[in-house]
Amino acid sequence: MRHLPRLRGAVSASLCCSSPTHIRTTTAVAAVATTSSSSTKTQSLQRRTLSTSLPRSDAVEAYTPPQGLKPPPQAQKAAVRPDKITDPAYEPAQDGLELEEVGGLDGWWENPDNYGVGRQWVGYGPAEKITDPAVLEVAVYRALVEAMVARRQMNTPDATPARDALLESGWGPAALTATTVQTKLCGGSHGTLILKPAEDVETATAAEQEAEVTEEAKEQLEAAVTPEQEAEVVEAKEEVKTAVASEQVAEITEETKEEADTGVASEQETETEVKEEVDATKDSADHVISTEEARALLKEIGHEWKRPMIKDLIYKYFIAKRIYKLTGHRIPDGKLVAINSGGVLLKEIVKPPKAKKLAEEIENKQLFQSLPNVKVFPRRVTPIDKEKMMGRWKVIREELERRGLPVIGTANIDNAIEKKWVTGTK
Amino acid sequence: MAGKGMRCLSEAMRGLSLGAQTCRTVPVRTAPLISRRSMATEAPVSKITRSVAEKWTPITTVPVTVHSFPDLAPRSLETYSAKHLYLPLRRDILHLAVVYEGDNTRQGTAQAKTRWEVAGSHRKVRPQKGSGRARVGNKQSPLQRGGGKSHGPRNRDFGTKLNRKVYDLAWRTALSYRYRRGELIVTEDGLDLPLPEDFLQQAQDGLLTRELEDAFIEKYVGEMLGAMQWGKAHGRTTFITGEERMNLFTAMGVAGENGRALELEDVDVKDLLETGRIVVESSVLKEMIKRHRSDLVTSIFLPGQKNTKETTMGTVVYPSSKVSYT
Repeated sequence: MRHLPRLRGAVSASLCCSSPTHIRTTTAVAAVATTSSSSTKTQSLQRRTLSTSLPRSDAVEAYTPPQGLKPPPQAQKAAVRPDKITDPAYEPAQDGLELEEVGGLDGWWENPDNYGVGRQWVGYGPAEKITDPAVLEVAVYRALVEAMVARRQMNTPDATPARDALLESGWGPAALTATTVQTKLCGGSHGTLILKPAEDVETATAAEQEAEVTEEAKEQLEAAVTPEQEAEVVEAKEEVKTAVASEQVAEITEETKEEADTGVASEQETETEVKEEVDATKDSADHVISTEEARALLKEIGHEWKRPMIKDLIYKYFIAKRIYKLTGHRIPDGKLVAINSGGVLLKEIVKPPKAKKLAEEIENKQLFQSLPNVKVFPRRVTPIDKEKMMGRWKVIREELERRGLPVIGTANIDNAIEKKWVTGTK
Repeated sequence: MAGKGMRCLSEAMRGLSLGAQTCRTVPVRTAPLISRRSMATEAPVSKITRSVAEKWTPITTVPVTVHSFPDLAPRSLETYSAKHLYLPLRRDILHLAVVYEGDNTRQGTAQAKTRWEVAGSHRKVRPQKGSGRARVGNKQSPLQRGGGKSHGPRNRDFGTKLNRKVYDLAWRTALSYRYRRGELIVTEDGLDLPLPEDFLQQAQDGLLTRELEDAFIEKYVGEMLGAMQWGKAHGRTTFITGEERMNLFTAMGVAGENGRALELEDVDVKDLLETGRIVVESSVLKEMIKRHRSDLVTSIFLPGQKNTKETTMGTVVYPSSKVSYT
């Protein structure tokens, strides 16, 4: 028997992590148990999606719940009994094979109208990984600079919100990338990567210089990322959202009222306007630079940053986080251990994924191109392939079809019976 | 007489000297420098050696990023000892552990009846002589149809033994193997699968049949894990939690082709080595290592003496610590 609800639709696990009440008394795993039911009953009523972690503030803003799920019709229509049919042309079927299949719920969710929209997975990084080497190099450099600024600000408690905003932000407007890239990185006294001090500044110690540069860079970045611009973006988004919502409501009411054509036309116009506005906001919020832009920036960046050492663990973590956000490349921890400079990091990210098949590998590396007698196929060359190469397959196929013989395989025809006589097997 | 004796001695001594040994005096024929050439297959100088002046500082701790699920946003950073998560791959030890687990998992309940257990009379089937046929004892004989089975399977314990320290090392080696390959994803505690609100609501209202629910979950989970590159095409995914999470376990039961979900209690080394990646809660990882470090910590406790061999495990580096940049 089925227990309803089979799917627990309630507890947001993150909300109850702090109060582990499900404790297994017998084993040590008690410390691991994290969900509770009693303390979160009130929350469970409000929130049915299960999240494993507290939603980020920005994620909640950007979150649009999936919608449009359509359950199958509940009322069932019974077929007319054969003795009640008055149509004289009706002939009862002799078996099920003759009947047409109607109804049924197979593939119900394959229909997009039933499945609804907004169910695709949204990760921390962009939906598609960036693979362009030039853009990746700019992204890595930007990540190094921003992570460095964030790392330097770690001991300042009041800088936490700004730091988080910096780490969590996307590409931002195009100008931001250009501004970030102007901040230079170089090798410090111990060979580690630092922010390059300005040449004209005459300060006493290297530490002071560094501190000054950090502060400068931080100010620049903060001005670029937070808080005014973000606030503007958020405001714009909210405006658009409310506009869309009000339009939708208006649309529904209008539909029910059967409005005149002019009204509908104006409605569509406003809708397109809203869409444009949304796109514009999106563009200004996140502008992934093009290859040409990246190449231009790379000339400015240079190569000085690639060699100095990166040792600090938290810095590496910030870098990985930024890179994941900007490019969609998740750097595994195991690789993070070995990454000890900007150059190594870049190489790791730019490196294309390993080919899954030998044939792909050979194709990628352009091997055996000069050998006239070597051909590489992605799969076994079958007799049919050979016939196709020869150009005889079409004829064979026609002939087989004409004789009513199976084109591929042996259908239900057994082996030659003479074989048994010859070999003596049963 | 004495002079002769001395001469003999000095001769004998000369015979023992280095110069007297012919094998040592044979000149080594060295080729002239011009004709010397490097061998065609000469290997390049290996980079595994390091300068004596350079200080050898092996890695002692490794970072572990804790992600949120399912968006995989990095949330915090922990460090583990290299002895926990950065061990070299030892296939032999993993093999020992997997075989040990396999042996101990065998039920060993197969049993066939011997001739002494087959029911029935033990009467002699026919006289010993005079029938012209083979001599037969009773009908329980293994030679008879319906008779007992000679050398058949018996209930037994197939379990083998493995030193605890070796097994624990295997466990951490398996984790390290995953870690090094980037196939160990650590999430925040409370790992569960978020299913869409509208679907859960409709399921609770009884608008969907079980088949429809299953079909929805299969599609939803398939698409989600596919987008994450964690699904069937990428070798499936094992989720490990501290206790049974209903949505996750139900969903993975339905969409089993894309992965599996296990409780900590049910995990063994073989599970860690199967599927494309392991997704594990932070505290579960800690618990796993805590249970499998008998070779690192001593089990003998003396009052007033600290366990010096104990190493760092799951120390939170970020966001809690305030360490200046080095």
